[in-house]
Amino acid sequence: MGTAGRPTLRCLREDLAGSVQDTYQQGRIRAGKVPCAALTDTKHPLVDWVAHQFEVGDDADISRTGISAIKHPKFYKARTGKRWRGAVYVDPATGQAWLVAAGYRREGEPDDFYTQFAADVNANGADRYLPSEDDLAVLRVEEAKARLADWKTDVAVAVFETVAEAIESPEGKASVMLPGLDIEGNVGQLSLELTSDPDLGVDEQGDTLVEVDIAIHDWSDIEAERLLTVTVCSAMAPSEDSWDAVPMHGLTHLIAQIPSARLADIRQSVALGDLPTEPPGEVRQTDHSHFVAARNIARATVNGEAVVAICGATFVPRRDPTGLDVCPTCTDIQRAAAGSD
Amino acid sequence: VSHGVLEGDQVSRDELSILDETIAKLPAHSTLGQALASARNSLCDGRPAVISGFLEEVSPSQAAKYLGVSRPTVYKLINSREIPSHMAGSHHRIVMRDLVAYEARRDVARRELAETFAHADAAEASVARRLADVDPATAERLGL
Repeated sequence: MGTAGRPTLRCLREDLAGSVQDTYQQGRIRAGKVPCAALTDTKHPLVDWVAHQFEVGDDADISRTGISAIKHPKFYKARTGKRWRGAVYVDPATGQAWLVAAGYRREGEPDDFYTQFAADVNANGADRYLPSEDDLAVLRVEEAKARLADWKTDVAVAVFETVAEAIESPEGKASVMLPGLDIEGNVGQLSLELTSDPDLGVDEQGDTLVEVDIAIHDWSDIEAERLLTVTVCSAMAPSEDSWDAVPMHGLTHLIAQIPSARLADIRQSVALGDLPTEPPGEVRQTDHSHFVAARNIARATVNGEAVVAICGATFVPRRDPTGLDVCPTCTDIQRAAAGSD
Repeated sequence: VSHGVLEGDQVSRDELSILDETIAKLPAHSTLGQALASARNSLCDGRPAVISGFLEEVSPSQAAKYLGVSRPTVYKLINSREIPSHMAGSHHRIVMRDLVAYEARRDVARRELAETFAHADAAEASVARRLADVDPATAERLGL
């Protein structure tokens, strides 16, 4: 596994920080942090050039020019536009390319940067430039995030197939072993039950509502289970107010009332083999603001804790409520309590 | 017959206007008046309202409306003894007090769910860090 050619943290901090074309990323680099989730997204022409020239699994170096003044290790020239020059190291064990140093080309001295770089490496050794433990840690986290994205996609596929199976089963039930993750306590099962009840009524489009009851069994890793819960819910209904918790048998079942048309769509996708190819996104909050007791809101916002609105909605404040419509139920209760109705 | 949980279509316009007059007769800021007005607003908007004695008994179908779940789910809660019930003839009956107690337990699970949804990014970052075998201090220092 590997990613496109990427800058080292030293190169970002000492050589590129001042010329990164994004003030937020500049600030992160100056604070000693990674500028963005994937380092190849750093806004800099040379970083961009290296990411495109040194791609994953590239084994031919036909178009690459070595810095000939350095015998060992091997460094390649990087150049973009008239001004930016750099040195690229390709890790022989992994094939991963690293932009390890960068600088301006001075007027009238076309190879100035390479000459200086070679003189420094030949005099002081290359260690200062080679990827550090921190660089490898950042790379491993990026690779882990890519694996998590694939895993979330697999979970979404499992959810779709389980929904289709439940629709076709006489009891409306199905369960599936969920794809595992390479950490302890990673095996688990999803059970899903669909319930039709005329009393559930219809949605705004007039579609019959069907109750979906899901439970995740046997995951012992709490953080991974949380991620799994969000992924499963989001694959079916990505709106937070669709979901409610129903404790049963010492387990929290999650219940949503989903329009039958949505379930039919999922079944159709499975029948056509048109399965999710992207990880589902987050479970979004509604576009309403709610009334919440003032004494609770500050603490909850700081600590990321849930609050209960006067309409009964339970949520963690994570959006600026300015400009959002106030929840109609909250408005009614507020009006009634104020005695102005 | 108990009617602890009311649906909008069970209450006529005439009844609502009598309720309005009653609310108007109660003193301003009367707690009873506020409770009645809240129930009235819910019913007008087609949402259920609860007016019930604490020890009132309700049917599984009324309990379903109170809990906002389907009737089969109420039976699952009865059968798993999450909610106590007793039989009146061939019908299950549930005491309002037990529904209120269940809702209080459910609030804990609701908070956990809301926090799970809100902190998905943090959970993902932490799982990624562990998969990558990077210690928390390094992740914090590098802003991973």
